[in-house]
Amino acid sequence: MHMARFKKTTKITISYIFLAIIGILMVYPLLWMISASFKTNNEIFSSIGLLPKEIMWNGYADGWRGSGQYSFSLYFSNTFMLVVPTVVFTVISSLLVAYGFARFRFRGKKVLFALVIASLMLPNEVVIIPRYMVFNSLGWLNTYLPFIIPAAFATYSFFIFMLVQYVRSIPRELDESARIDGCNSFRILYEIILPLTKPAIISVIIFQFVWRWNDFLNALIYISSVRKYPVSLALRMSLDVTDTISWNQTMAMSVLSMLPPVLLFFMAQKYFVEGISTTGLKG
Amino acid sequence: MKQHRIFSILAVSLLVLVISMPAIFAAGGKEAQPAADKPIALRFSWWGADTRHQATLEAIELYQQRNPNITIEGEYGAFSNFYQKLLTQLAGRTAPDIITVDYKWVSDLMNQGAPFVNMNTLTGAIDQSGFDLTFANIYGGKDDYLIGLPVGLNGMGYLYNTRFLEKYGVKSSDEWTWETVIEMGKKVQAADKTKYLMYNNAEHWVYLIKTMLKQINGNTLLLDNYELGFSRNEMLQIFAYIDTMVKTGTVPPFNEGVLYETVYADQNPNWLNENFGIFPTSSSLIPGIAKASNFTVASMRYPVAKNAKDPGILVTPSMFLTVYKQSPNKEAAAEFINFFLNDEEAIRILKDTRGIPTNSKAKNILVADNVIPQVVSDMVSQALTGVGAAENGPSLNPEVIALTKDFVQQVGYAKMTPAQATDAYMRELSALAKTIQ
Amino acid sequence: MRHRRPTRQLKYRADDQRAGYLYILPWIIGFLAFQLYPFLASFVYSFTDFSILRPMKFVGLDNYKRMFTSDRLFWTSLKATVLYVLMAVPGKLIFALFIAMVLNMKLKFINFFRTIYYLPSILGGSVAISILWRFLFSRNGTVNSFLNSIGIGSLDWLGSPNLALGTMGLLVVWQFGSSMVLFLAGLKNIPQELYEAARVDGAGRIKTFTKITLPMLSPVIFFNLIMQMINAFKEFNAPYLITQGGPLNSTYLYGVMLYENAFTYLKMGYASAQSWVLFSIIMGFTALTFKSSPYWTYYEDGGEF
Repeated sequence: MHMARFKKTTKITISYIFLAIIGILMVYPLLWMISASFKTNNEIFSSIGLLPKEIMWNGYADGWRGSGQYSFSLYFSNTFMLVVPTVVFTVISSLLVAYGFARFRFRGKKVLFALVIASLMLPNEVVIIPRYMVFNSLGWLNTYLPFIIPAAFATYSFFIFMLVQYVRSIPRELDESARIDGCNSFRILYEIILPLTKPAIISVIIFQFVWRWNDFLNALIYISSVRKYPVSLALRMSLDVTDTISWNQTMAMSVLSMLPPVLLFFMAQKYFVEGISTTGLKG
Repeated sequence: MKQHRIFSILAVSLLVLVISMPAIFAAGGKEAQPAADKPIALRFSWWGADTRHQATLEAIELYQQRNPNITIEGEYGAFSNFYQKLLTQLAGRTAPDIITVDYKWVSDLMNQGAPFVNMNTLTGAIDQSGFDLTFANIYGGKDDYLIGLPVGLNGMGYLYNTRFLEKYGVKSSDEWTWETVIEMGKKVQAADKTKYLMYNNAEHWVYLIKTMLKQINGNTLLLDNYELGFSRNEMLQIFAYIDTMVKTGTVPPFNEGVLYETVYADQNPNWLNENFGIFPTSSSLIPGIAKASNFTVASMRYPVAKNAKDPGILVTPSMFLTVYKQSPNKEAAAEFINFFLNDEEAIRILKDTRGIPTNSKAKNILVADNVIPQVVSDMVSQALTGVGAAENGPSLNPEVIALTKDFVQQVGYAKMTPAQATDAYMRELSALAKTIQ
Repeated sequence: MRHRRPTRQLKYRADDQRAGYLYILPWIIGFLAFQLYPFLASFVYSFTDFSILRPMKFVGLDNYKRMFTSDRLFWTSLKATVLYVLMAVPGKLIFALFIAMVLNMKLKFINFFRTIYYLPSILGGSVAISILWRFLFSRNGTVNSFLNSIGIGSLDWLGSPNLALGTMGLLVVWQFGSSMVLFLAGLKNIPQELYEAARVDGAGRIKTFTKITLPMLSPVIFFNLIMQMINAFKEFNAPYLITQGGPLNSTYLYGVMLYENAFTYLKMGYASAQSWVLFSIIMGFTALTFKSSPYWTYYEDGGEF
């Protein structure tokens, strides 16, 4: 008994030490960014240490003010306006489509599903221009619609594929018994599939939020007006070697821009951790 | 079944949404016809960082005050990806009315049908008297067509750390030859094995090749007819020189230095920590480098060989301001450019945020006001004492440049002897020249 | 998709069909409206000399011919890419699974650790990354100082053409967060009863892992494998941010080559042809993985798809 407890404590201690060592590698860049937001340009590029020799206090205040016209308050609220609807629509549409693929038998399903996955395989570089033409002809340039509307139509195929995998790992017997009880397919989705795929849906929310939050290239292509810039564009707005860059401000804003995704992750994780293991699946 | 009806309704409404979306939003897209006092909205795109953004926005503000019917929306951001966005916009015919264009893109854009208004047709709207139009035409023109007006002047030179050179007894002068460089390189190495005289980033190695070539035979890498601008012996001489630079430790070994090939001295710890003392650069980069450096920087002239056919030093416009051909408000755009480049108040607001002005009128004002940093104006005037023949389109082709960088690395990493590299380079470059004609 | 169990009914039930189509309708519309045209367009471009602004001319199979016969970098790039995929994909998956299993333990502050482990993925392509990576892996960088302190000499992690690709792969492995999250979600889906039953049967840790964890996790592993493979073949950010393809083109991955051809050299037609070749390669690998899946994946729905 005593021995067993000793063994358990050792195991836990080793786990903590391991987690902490690897954890340092994971967290170091963020710490460095925070310290860089207080450093001079010289120090940012000449040493990797964390403690600034000469502290620059202006990074956050001046960085937030931006280069004149608009401040980061606007860029942050723009980003939320772009990201939140995109995430919401992605979750709804991807779940519906994934449910359709995972649970129903219909002609051409395999071909259509192959198309879903195939659409992930073509490199972005060569579809940028024709896609730009599509959104141009729809009159959506310089709006957030090129992000939001495609999300409503489940064109972020990654999530369909992902949710299909999770729905398929739910025993079919559950649906069938519900069907026998007279549930229609939508109620099965809502009452059985949805609760059981909650960890996966939380992952969809996290991924889509982080990816759209950081998405630079699409924002660059579709958004022209500075007053509509999301944070990802605003962060790079003042990086030009033929001018003097205030790196501490860029670093300060990079640190702040990480906060919403980090907070979201921190709050959301308990859902995919609690998961469904408590609901007692089989039956 | 009931759920199917729900989904039918959902599906139909989604469909309606998709179809009606263009109608709803297309309305917002196009605005403003040109007319005397009708409101006009112009879009102006440029790249830069805070100082340039702020000065430009201030100038725009002033212009809007003077012309209440005109609003100008700045579309500004970083330099990286600016070109990609511009190309996409040009493809979609949605580019801004006033566009900033880098001189390196000019040749490609002209080959692509020159989507900008010919500046020569805008002499009425824009006072071009202060500009050296011969210079403008070399980098931005072809036959009777001029893509835009050059804004800043850029000269190539050696930026150095004064403390470093002093410490190793290296004497700066505007009379350096290529032999001086090696001699000084050896001197630094003799004093300290871990220090190097200079560091060339990838971009600069290509300049070195081009400049040496001009000094040897007066040619560009590729001639206007896409023939090679050099003989085997001439290129061998250049590659052998690069080899010597590496072997004598004038430059750091490639394994060590290659990490910083794509950035400039302001981001290179070896410059900031004084492991090397000279960074060849164009003058437009000086302010950023000087800001990051904890030591005094100064400039000396680029090396010129004795008996050089052509001193070969590169002097280029930093960027062009152009008017988009599809713009519905070309006249208004041209008038704004006139204000932007010629108006005294605008000149005082914009200062040297786009480099030393090419417009002599603006330059004189700034010189009188004493706002141009000494090092920048030094480098430009040193370069002007040895201006080389202009670069031509074929030699500025990005694929030619990439190929040249590759062979510098082959020599630098000693994967090829200078002779092997010369032969392979000549073969590849001739093949490439055929495909880009 | 193959499945193990012979299907129970081969006929399609009419209402099943209708419901299926209705559920996937949003995707069908989205695909037709937003994805089909760009795909077809790029396919058409691949047979032209499309250079973005000039009117295009059809050139038949020239682009494809040039790629395989006279492009000096095509094979270099393809080789580097395949090598990279072979290193980065297993590296990332194994690391992610391992960490997910550790983070799945009931420990105090585990929420905090999980968040920390996800940080690199949130950093994404931040400008700070390229600066840091150079600091870590330069000649006098942190990694070498550490190696020196334990008596191992310096290596040119990014400067040597032999090492650069591997070092760059480390960056991608380091950003393992999304795979980790998927594994965590998958691990939580495994009913605890299975583990309890195994414990009662006296199964050891390794046996529990291979007999319960791996099979139950196989749909997620499968998904991660496919997605990581697709993404690794298309990788652009890491080489573009850190090495820009060098030194000596050792990290000149396919994605960088495509980007340069499309937006630096303005050879969009050629880049499109290269894209479709990459598309076929990825398709081939993916199809192989799908074909192999009945032998190693396990679905609660009985493998019926």
